[in-house]
Amino acid sequence: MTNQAMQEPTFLILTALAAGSQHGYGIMTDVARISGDRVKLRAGTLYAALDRLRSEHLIDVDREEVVDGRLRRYYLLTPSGAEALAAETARMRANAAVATRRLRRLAGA
Amino acid sequence: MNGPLPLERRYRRLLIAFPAGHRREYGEEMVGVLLASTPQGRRRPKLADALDLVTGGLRARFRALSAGLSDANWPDALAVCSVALPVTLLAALAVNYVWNLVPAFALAGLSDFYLPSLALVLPPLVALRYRRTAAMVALAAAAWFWFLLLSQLTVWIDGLEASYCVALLIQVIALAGSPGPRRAAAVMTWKTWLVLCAAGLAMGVASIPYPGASMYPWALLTWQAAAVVLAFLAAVGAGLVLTLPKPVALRLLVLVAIPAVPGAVWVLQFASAMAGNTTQVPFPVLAFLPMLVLACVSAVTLWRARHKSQKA
Repeated sequence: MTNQAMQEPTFLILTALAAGSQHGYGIMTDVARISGDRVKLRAGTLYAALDRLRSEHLIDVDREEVVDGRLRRYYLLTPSGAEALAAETARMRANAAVATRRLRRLAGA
Repeated sequence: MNGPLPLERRYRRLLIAFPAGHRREYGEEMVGVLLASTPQGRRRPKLADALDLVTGGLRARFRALSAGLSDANWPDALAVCSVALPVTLLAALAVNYVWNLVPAFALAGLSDFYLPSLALVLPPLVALRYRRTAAMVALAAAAWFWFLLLSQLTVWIDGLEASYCVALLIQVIALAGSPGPRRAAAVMTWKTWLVLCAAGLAMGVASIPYPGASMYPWALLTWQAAAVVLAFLAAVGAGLVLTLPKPVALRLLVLVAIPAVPGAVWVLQFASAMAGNTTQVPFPVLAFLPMLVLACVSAVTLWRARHKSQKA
């Protein structure tokens, strides 16, 4: 695992999958919901990210279905994906705590 | 039976931006997601979606390319390349040198040939002990030849000189980005050495000048020269594929082709001039552009190799 900060779309995809396995379109709509419609993933970006996350073993395919003659694949968070998401959350929380403390001090000064 | 709707057809067309492997794995799924996220009745993809597919596809292609470049066979191919170029040129040089020992055939001005060849031969010898220093020697030699080239530059450059410059830059990448000549010796068989020496000897014999009106006995027509050059390249290529592990050989051919192309162009021009065709097309100055890219790649490879060794 690298020490680099996770990119926001990656973080949001992993967060979406932390709720349970989802298919591509489900991830797209969930990411929009989590980010308050600020991040709207499009298919090209989403599937490039899913491919990369699969190759890094952070997510995996849960199951496949055929709906209206089209393939629908469900993705799930792997244990190392959950670990990476937890590490990123802790990093963000630590940064946010420092920022909050300093802002409080600034407001009190 | 109806085919896919126009919107689906257009999305599928845009998916061509992705590598074939990615399309096989995710293509159907992506079309489904794209159609689900497009409002009913729309016949054309949204511009933002189209741009996203193209940029996403290019990113995926770049990832596939960098994954391909970092596969385990490249270091071996680079190691063999660091030996192959100098050995071939050394063999050619030896033929020329021996020929010049015969007083009747000795020609002035051959230092043009010896100097770059020695510059290519020297670094691998240094690399047996000091690989990265050897890469720096090759880079310095390339810089020197560039300086010579640019100082005499009018409008056109000589293909042979271009070939040497490119070969030296490839040598920098080969030495800095691979385990070096010792690894090459482990990968190559005696048959590979034979192929390289034979290629060098053939080049040397073809470059022997004869005193007389035409100087070279094989002042061929351009198409004949092209056939000879292609046959030579095919024979060397086949020899390498047959005597090295195939993935290594194919990568080596890609590397060797880079200096071989300007070299082959030069041979054809020379043959054309010897055959009395005075309207030969000189090697264009635009050839500097890929060389510049190659120079940057060489410098970055060398820098990374040094950086890594300092960190280790």
